[in-house]
Amino acid sequence: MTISDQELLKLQMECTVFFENNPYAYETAKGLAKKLGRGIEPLEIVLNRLAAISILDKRGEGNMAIYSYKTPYTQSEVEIH
Amino acid sequence: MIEKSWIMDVKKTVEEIQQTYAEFTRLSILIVDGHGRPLVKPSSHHPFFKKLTDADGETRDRFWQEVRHYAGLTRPALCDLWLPGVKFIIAPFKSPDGDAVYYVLAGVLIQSGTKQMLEEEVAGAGLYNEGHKLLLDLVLEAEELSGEEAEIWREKIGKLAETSERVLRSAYREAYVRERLAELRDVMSTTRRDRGTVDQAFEQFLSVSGGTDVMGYAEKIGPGEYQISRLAGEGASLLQDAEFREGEGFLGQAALSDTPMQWTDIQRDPRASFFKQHGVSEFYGLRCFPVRVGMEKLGILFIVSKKKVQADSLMREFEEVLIALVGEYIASGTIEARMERQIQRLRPLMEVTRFMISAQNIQRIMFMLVDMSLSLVWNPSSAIIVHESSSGQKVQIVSRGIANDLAEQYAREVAKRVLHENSSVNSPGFELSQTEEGQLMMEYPIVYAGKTRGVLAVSLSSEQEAEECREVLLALATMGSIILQSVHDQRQLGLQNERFLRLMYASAKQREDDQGKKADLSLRLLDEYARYGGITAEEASLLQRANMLSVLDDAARSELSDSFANELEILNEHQLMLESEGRTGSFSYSRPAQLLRTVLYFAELDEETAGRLHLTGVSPELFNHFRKFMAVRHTVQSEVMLSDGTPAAFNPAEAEERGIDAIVKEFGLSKREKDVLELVVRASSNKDIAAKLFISEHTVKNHLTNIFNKMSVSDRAQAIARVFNRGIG
Amino acid sequence: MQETRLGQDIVHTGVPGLDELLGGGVPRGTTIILEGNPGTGKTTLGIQFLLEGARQYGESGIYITFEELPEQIYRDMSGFGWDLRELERQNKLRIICLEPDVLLDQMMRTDGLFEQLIREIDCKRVVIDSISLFRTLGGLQTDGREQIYSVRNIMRKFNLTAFFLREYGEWEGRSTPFENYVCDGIIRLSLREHMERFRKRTIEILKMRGTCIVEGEHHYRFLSDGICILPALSMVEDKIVSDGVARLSTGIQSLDDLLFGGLPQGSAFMLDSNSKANYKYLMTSIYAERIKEGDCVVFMLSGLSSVETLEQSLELFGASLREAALEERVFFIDHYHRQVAPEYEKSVIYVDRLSNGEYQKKVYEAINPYFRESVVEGRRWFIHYDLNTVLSERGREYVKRHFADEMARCRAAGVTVLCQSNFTEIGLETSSFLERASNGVIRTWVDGSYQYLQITKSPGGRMSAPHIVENIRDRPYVRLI
Repeated sequence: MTISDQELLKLQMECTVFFENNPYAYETAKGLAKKLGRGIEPLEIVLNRLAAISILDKRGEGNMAIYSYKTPYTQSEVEIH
Repeated sequence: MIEKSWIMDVKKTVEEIQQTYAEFTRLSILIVDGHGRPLVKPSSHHPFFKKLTDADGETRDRFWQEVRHYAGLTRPALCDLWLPGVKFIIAPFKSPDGDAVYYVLAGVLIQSGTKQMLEEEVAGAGLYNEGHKLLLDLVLEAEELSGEEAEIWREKIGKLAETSERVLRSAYREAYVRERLAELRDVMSTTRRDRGTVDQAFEQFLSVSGGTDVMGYAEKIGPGEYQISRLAGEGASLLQDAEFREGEGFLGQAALSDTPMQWTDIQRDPRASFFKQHGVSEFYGLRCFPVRVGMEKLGILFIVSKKKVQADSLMREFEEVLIALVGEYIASGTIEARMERQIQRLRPLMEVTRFMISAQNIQRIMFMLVDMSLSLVWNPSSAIIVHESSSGQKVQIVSRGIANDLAEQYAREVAKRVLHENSSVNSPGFELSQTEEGQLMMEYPIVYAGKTRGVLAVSLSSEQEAEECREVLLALATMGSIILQSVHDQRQLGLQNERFLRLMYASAKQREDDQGKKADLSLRLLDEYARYGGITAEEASLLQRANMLSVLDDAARSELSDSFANELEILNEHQLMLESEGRTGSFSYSRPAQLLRTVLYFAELDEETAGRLHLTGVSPELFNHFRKFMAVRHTVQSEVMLSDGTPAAFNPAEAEERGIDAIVKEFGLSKREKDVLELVVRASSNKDIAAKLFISEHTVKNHLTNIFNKMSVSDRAQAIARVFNRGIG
Repeated sequence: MQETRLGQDIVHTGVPGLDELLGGGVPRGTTIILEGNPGTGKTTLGIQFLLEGARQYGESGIYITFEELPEQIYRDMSGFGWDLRELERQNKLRIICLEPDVLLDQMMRTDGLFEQLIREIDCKRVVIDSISLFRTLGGLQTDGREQIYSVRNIMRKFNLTAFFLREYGEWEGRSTPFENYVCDGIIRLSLREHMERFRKRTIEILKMRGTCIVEGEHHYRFLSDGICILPALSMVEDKIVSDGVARLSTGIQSLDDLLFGGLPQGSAFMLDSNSKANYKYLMTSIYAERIKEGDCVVFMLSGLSSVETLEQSLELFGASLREAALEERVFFIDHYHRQVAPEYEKSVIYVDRLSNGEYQKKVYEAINPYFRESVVEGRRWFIHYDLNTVLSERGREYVKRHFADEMARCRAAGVTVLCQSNFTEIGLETSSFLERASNGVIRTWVDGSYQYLQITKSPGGRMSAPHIVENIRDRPYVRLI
């Protein structure tokens, strides 16, 4: 079964929201699938995509890969000059 | 030809014309196809013509044998048929499809002075029975014509042939086009129902168009870059996915043009090497049509004809229409897909919005905006949000995918360009800019509270991409602005209300000294307890507000009931707890109420006396925890400076000033009364006011009475409330 | 008195009542199995162990769960008023929800996720919920022992104090599970029917290396802010003799009963009395017992009590101060520079007109030589600490700054301390602090025509009921009813 881009994007949003909400969560695709009640395969695509655009950190490969939220760079004291 | 009502109309038209000519020439006229089949009803009542139109019969056969002798005719001619002297005009014309010759037959014409002679000849000729009689009738009925007259009739019938040809051809065209349009409609409706069969539709288009050999569509995939994405027809499969650039070869040339282009006899043209390279061995002509939406070029539709064909202009015309349709189809498909993609992106935005609204924290909202903008773009490289910080001279940034120093450098640049100079509201939209490194940035202003306060910027690899995501990013940025506005509003409202409450509290405190002291201590204890970690900062300020409310009188409290519903609820519970103190039974009070009870209890205690070990309705754990805190608080206290809790962002002085000015105007206060009111609002006591204005306390009281009367309020608290309401209203 | 490292080696769980059962806490770096049926509160206790570590002792923790969803844990724990997300933001806690194999994979890697996390938050405590799932990792034939062993060793390597949660009963009827041997302790939570209508929650420490425990089943309850363990009275009494801590008799049988034999050696007790209450007999009885037992005793003389009055009072209880002085085992700290009989001269440490620093130095230098020697001989030391005097002579700040420290040193050195104070006079703030710094509090007060006595705090965590103090004709002249 192929998954439409639309579904993937929706899932991607869901994942992003999940990790923003749980910035200290460490998740495997399998674990997250269970939590979100989603299929593993589309989730893997989405997680890797999020890792590729550096929203998530990925460590390990395959089934053992763990994803976690990568806090964006923040600087609240940039002088304008 | 299709038998449909409109064809009947065409026939009628031809019949009408034929009839007109027949009456005018007083000839019988018959229009037939190449096989002698009549196209319309003959304009004659003559039995002979009836026989000619019969499906078979000796007369018909014999007559057509005679006519066939003249098969090569290209112009109208006077022909002797059956007997020399019995003349018919035969006017050939092209069949509508151009493949065959049709005829107009008109007769019978007899040279002047020959009728008598012909009658005899007919009688003498060895004709079969029926023929003999029919021919005789024809000759007898026929008028005698001079040679000149016959010549005129020949021309006229020629005209009739031309007219018929035109009418029939246009009818044919119409039929052809309609037929194909009907097919096209079918194709369109199927493809619209099911977008999955685009290639199939393409194939169908090709079959509908008839004579075309290879039809293809080259899609613009980047600036100046095209790729053949769809293909139909045989012998060109290698063209699939082939890429070319603007200006390269025929297709590349077509890409530069805004109008359709056409080339023939291109086998030897070097510009055709693209086709050769991609395995197209047979080609003669090429036609290209730009596909556009508005000013934006989406791609090129092209048709490769393999052989030279004697293309009928009708066909060509139709093909052009068809191509235009295909172009439209592709364009609409592209737009639809684009919209679909945007809807795809927008739909999850709804979820995100809900989440963002619940966040109520600027930093988290900024995180989300950055993450979401990266998620919504197909090939993102980085996103950054620059937001003014409360101090004004600095900005805060949240970024991803961009080196930290570059992010800061960019933030400075944006701040100077967008945030600094421009204090008015930007029209919603976006700007494309380039960083010093040449990175293309799409920038969306974050506008709220009447000012551009930030910029959401997403870097993109191409303008094409910018085009694709600009709507959805605009939606995101707008949404972000709205949510930040709501956070801002909520804070502002909270600040104003709290500031207001503090003023009311400060004024109420003066009436009751003991209670005031106790309440002040409670406020301090709550601050300290929060630092100690016993309660959160939010809990502390909630309880502080409840504590301040407890000092106000009922009228002042009810004035504030809308803004501080939670706090008043806690106060009510607190009252119940006070009343139930010492009673037995099971009680269930909220945690804030239990905390308030405990804090107020300890605030009331003389510190040097040991107090109760338990309060009714307060959980022992909570009580003991606070007791422990009380034991160590002096060490904590010495380490911290107490803040007065007035946030810097809100300017209360301005609000007060506005409020007082409004009140002075509205109620006609004197200069002195205004001075007194100003001091009242700043929570000065009568004594202070007297000292500051160099008047006696008694005079202060008199002023106050006048002020209260003018303002129709009964006490300071209400007066302050008025001023404040005017100030923020 | 010498420096102690005792406090650094013990991890206080911070769970109310549990540390008392554990003799103060568990040795750092140990791994403890926490078992129980579903619903017994393993998760709550596990989280509470981490939470209290973070809140009270500044020790960060990691909660590893294979079964529950973190959201569930956040939600459940917020019921106790615990904001775990906030603790995560403060880098005091991490809740990790991963599959056992993935976790193990990361644990085994150098610089894997686990190691990184430990560094990131400076983790000291770990809870794994639950190790039962490790069993499936090694395949059907094994019981996951290799995995559990590895994990236990990793905990030890990083000096992490860990609770391994386990479903109770899963190994019932089988041989003792492997982890019981490799882990340092086992705590069991049970929930059983009690008197038909009530269900009774009990906690039992089945094994604990390196610390004395209070055996038996103890009740625990879910309170609004977590689990609270109530050490069982009868069980504590039963085990008193064998819990390894010597009890110093007070000389008053009924008081000894309340204290399960007397003051625990090395403890600091507070005697809180108001001025009306007659505490003199109580105090003197306790000193007299020490002197009669041959212990070394340090007295802090108040303005009202001189060496002379002390000698007389002790004589009533059949103890000779003079003899003890000759044996060089009594010392007096005097703030008022009073003359004493020659035989006492060597025993008095005059501390008047000394700054606090000089005071501390002088007392320490005077006693330390005797202390070292006597400890070698196996003598016990007892200190009478008159807080009222110290407060008036040394000041409240001095007490606040040094009292807890002094008590801790005494405790470490096995010195028993009895402080005399009047909480009502001292004030709530200081007295609460003193109360916390002490192991036990004996409170006596007069209400109407009776004098009452109550143990309001004890190392076992239990309070006694108030008793009436009755004067009697014979030694020790008082008894509790």
